[in-house]
Amino acid sequence: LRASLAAIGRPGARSAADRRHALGDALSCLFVAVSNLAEHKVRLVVALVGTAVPILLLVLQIAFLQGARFEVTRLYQDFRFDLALVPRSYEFLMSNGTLDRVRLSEAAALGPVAATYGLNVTPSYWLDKATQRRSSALLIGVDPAREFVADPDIRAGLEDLTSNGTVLVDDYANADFGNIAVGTDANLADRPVTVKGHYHLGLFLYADGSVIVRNSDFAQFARRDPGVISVGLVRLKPGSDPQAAKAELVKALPDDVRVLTHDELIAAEQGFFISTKPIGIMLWISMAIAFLVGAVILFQVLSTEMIARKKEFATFKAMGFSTGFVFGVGLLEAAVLSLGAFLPGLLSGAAILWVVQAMTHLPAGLTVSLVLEVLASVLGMSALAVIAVMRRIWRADPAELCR
Amino acid sequence: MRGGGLWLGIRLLLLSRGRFFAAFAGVAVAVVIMFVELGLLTSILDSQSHLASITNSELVVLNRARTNLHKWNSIDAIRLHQIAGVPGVAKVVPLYQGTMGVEDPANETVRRILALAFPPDDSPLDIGDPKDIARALRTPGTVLYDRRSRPIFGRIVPGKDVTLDGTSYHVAGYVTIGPDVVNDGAFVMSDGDWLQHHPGAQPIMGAIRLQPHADVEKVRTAILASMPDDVAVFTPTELRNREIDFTLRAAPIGILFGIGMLAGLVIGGLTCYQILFNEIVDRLPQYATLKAMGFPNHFLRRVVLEQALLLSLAGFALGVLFVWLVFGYLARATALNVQLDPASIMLILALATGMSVGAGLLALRRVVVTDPAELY
Repeated sequence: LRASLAAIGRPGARSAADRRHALGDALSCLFVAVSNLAEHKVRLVVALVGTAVPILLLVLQIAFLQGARFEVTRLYQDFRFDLALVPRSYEFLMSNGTLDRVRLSEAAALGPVAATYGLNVTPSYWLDKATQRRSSALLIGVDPAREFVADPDIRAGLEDLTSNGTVLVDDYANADFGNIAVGTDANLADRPVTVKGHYHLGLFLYADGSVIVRNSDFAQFARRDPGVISVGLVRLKPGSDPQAAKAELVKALPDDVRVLTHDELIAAEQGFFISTKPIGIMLWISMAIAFLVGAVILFQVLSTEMIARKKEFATFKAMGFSTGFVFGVGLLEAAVLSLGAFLPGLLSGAAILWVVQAMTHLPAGLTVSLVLEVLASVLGMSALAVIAVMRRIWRADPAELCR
Repeated sequence: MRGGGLWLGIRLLLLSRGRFFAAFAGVAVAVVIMFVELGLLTSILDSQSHLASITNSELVVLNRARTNLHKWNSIDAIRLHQIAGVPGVAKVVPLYQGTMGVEDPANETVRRILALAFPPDDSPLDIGDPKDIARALRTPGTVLYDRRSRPIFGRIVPGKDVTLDGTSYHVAGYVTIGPDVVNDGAFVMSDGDWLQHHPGAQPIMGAIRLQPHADVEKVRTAILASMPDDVAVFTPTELRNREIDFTLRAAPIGILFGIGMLAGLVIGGLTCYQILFNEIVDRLPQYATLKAMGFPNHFLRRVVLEQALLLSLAGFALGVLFVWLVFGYLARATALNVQLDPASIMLILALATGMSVGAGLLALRRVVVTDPAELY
């Protein structure tokens, strides 16, 4: 037995017979683990529920945080760009600062720059004429260049923004926006507008909804100088290195603008939300607490399970089974419990997230990365818990444990 | 016998030291998750309804289309004058609200801040000494700064000037309002100053002060009867409850943290249940022995009850200590009112002990109903 376990540790030196032997051992390990668990049905159910609970908790909190991080950069994700120019005072999407459009022309004159694009953002108001409800709206001004727009709805809608007073409205806007069917008249910043199309954004963390207008109209709605923009987007010529191009822009442009790469802008936006905005701080803390709570609950459930079996483990030890075998039984028990609880935990989490998404449009879905993250965390925490408890059981004298 | 029972409960708990600590820590974190989720939701509801909480009049009037405090429908100032003529009403104080760009004195960065404006001599909000507020705001071009604003606006101190929407104002002192989820800070100014820079602005709310001994309900009925149906009249408490109800039902952040809270309570409750259930099931042979020795069922129940109470109370105490630290950090980091309030303490104490006791007694049923000998 000892030899075969040693063989598992030395994959290169295994003979076929050793491998068969080792496989047989692993199977008997699993058999013992499963029989241990199945011995007492009610207890098994309670342990499964106990393990599913931290899994559910982790799924929810990680999904909420990921959803919020995604949402605060959703507008930027709807555009294709390599570099962004922001005013020196820029903090996040809703910052007040502006930069001169001339900076875009200056950037466009540089070697690696293929094209530039002006994006405008300002808080505004939407009035639904039917109910006379006045909701906060994020007013977004866009340039006509379609190749900068990644979102198919916005790209298609750009064609329809022909005359002054035509707008695209966020389909995820709050119900107080009223009827937003194509052709509906409403007021935006106290000026009459007609809805020409829709897109999906749903920035509820910042406003009740959003509205897109052409930049040629934006200045009137926002009562702002048409010569300034909120953020400048830059596309580079194919094959250009963003970092090198960034350095070139930084050198060429005055210091009233900052230059960020696409990824830097996204990271800075998310960082600001998580570290400074109260909802971000709360979601971050919730997730941290979920990890702590999840780890302790898993430890509690698994250690109870192990300690309740300590007589069995002591018997194995007394019978001369190897450390590897007995620890293997413990680890497999934990793995079977975690995996058995994983599906119910995940499914109940997915159901709750589905409700949250339907009600809030927060992009907090069950993604592959989320599932893998939770699975890895849970298996890792379980393994640590089992090793901690088993070491204590193992160190004890078998005779004492059977008392 | 009573002392002996408790002693037995403790001895059973401490039979395996490691196990006891795992159970103790388990109950503590169950309490933590319940408190944190509940505390976050409460602070968000507080923040959303804060304006109603600090309104100091008997009734308020809003535009009927303003279904929650984060809608921006204003009310026609003429309505406030009309309401002032209703019998029982002493006067109606207008409140103006908007956002302004405040310049950071150090680097000229402009950030958005909330601005509230009202007649200097009659503050409709409980945000400081009315006499001090009146004295300061009577001078045109003077503002008061919310001392609880998040520290992102730079050095704004009494005696200095501050630039709001491009105009310089004198900062005369402080008021106490507190930021919310959306706004990071606030300035207060006189309605005269506000209207000078926002010609034609209409109030967002009217604070209705009643004559002495006037009956609130009668005055409300009289107001509603004499006005067109474009106004809604509430007491500040009703307005606060309407806002909380709206946030929970329809506002995305209310839904998000509401679901978080439900999940937290269920998870915490299940964990307490799971721990106590195992605690008792694994001692069933001991209980069966006691039963076989002739101890009556109510004695066994009392031992279980004492174990459950001991574990849940000890876990609760540790949990509360930890939560107190977390909330201290959160209150500092978010500048919101995140605190341990008596209502949530009672609720979570009841949940933790209730689930523990219930689980313990359910697990013990097997001893009570079966033949002791079978349990071996």
